[in-house]
Amino acid sequence: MSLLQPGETIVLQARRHWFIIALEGAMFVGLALVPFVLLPAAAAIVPGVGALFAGPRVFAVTGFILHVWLLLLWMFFFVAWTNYYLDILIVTDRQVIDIEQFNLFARDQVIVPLQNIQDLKVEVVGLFPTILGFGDLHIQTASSLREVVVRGIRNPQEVKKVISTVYHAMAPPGEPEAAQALGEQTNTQLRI
Amino acid sequence: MIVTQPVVVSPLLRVIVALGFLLVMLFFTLISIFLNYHWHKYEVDPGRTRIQRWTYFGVSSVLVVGMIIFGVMAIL
Repeated sequence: MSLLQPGETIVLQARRHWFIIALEGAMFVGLALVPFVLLPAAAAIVPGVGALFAGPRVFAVTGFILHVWLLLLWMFFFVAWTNYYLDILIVTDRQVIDIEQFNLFARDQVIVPLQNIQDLKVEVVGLFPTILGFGDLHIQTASSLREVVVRGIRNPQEVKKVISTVYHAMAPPGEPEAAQALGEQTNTQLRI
Repeated sequence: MIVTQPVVVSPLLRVIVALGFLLVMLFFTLISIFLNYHWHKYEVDPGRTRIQRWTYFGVSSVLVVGMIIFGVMAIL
C-alpha cells in the first residue's frame, strides 16, 4: 500500500461496524419493496386499477419502470457499500492512518504519527452501539489537526488498547528489530 | 368472426421509453466506471472486492436485460 513507508508493518485494520451498512441496506430493501406493496394495494383499494394493469402495454411499461427503479437502487446501495468498505483505520508500527470515504467524489486521509498521539478516547452512545459494541474513537494529536474522530468503529476499546500498546512499544528510529518484535507480539496483523 | 384492431403505440411513449432507457444506461455506465475505479485504486487488500464486483455486475446485468425486454415490449 502506497501510504506505508518501506519496512512499515500493519498491526491492525479496523472498519466501521456491519450494523451501519446493514441499516442502509434495510432502507434500500424497503424502498425496493415499495412498488410491490403499493401496486397490489392500489389494485385492491381503487376500482379499475387492477384491470388497467391487465393490459399488455401497461404491464410492459410498469415492468420497465420497475426494472429502472431496482437498477437505480442497486447502484445507490453499492455506492453506499463502497463508502462503507473504503472507510478504514490502519494502525501500523509507526503511524495511525484514518481513511474516510464520504462519497464517490470526497475522500479524506489523515495520517497521525504515533509520537504525535496525546490522548485516546472511546465514545459509545446509544442502544445498538452498546449492545453490538461499536462507537467513536477520538484521537487527540499534537498536530494542528488537534483531534481525529473515527466514527462507528468495531470494538473501539480493543482498537484503543492496540494503539496504546503500539504507542508504548514504539521502536526508536533505527531499531527495526523492535518493530518486528511488535508485529510478532500483536499477531502481525489484526482485523477488527 | 373476430375483428382485431391494429395496436397503435403512442409516439410519445416510444420517445419516453427510449430516452429513459438511454439516460439510465448512461447513468449506470458512469456509476459503474466510478465504482470500479474506487475498487481498483483504493482497495486495501487486492482481490477482496472480487465477489462484490461479480455480484454488482451480475445482478445489474439481469436488471438491464429485464429493462431491455420490457422496454421493447412497451414500444413494439
